[in-house]
Amino acid sequence: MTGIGVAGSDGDLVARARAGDDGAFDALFRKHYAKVVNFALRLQGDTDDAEDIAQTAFVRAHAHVGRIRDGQALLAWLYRTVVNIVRDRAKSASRKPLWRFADLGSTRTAGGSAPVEEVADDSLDPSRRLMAAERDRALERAIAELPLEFREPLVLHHLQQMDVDEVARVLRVPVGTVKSRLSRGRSRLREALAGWFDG
Amino acid sequence: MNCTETRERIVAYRSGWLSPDEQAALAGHLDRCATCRRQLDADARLCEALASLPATEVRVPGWEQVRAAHTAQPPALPRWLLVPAFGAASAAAALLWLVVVGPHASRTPEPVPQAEASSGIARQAHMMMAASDLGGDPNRAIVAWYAGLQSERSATGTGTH
Repeated sequence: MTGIGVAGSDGDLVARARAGDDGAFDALFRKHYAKVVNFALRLQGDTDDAEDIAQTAFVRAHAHVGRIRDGQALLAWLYRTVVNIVRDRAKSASRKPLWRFADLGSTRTAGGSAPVEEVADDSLDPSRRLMAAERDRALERAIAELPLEFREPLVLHHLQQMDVDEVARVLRVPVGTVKSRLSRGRSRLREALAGWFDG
Repeated sequence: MNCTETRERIVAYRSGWLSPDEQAALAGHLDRCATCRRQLDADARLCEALASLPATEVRVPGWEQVRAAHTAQPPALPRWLLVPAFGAASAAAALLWLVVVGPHASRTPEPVPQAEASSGIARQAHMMMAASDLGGDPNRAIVAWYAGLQSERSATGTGTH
């Protein structure tokens, strides 16, 4: 299950959860869990840790649901919590590598179940599909090697599809800082992946 | 605007974040510079690739299960400590009963001379120590001590019932 078919806006569901309706919080969990796990995975690269971080964020949200004023901003609140957890863990875990590249990509299913089969795309011949997969892996490696200050806005904006104002709210920095970090992050990616994107 | 300034602003140009004047100046440079145009195209391809990066499939667990797993549990006593802990607690309770309650619990309420009471406690403590010498098993020690206590009470006519 990937959260499809969960009815109700975040604002309504948070209001119901605040009133003690555990079913409403369960609906919020099913609706956003996959997005939050993917965000955590893009930030720190380990599937098991990503699930643990996402679950911790939801447990904190549940504990503080009475204090979440804007229910519509729940997802941003969860992303913010994930950012904080990842930063804390990165500080305390400088002795071990932050990334485990094997965990990234669509062919592995978070939660330890069997790999998901890739859907064949008839518009691409096998060699082009292979090349696209190779390019994606190179891109993921390059993202992983970005400093966290560039990686956070880049993942939020380009992979989680948040606009720069939302990214600024999640990261608690001015919009200008988000734009500057996005520019520098993308510039670094272009340099690192010149062979793939220079055409 | 030169190439360095242009490349620093390519993302802002594509995103429409520049002022109209800067936007126009950069567009003018791009018209003249094929190298910078390639950078502009590379940024467009990069954005397409970022947007199409596949998300990892995630199996959603049950919320109640997650909540239970993340709720702080008091640390459980290891299994290997359970029997010794129970034995030690039993022995401590028995000793407490022996010292505080035992001398008075089943006796007649007649006043007991201090010397006799003291010797009774000393004798029971001695019996407890002797019984605890049975191979380090606290349960056997307690049973042996209790049997000794019963036989002594039968002999002196001070039953427990």
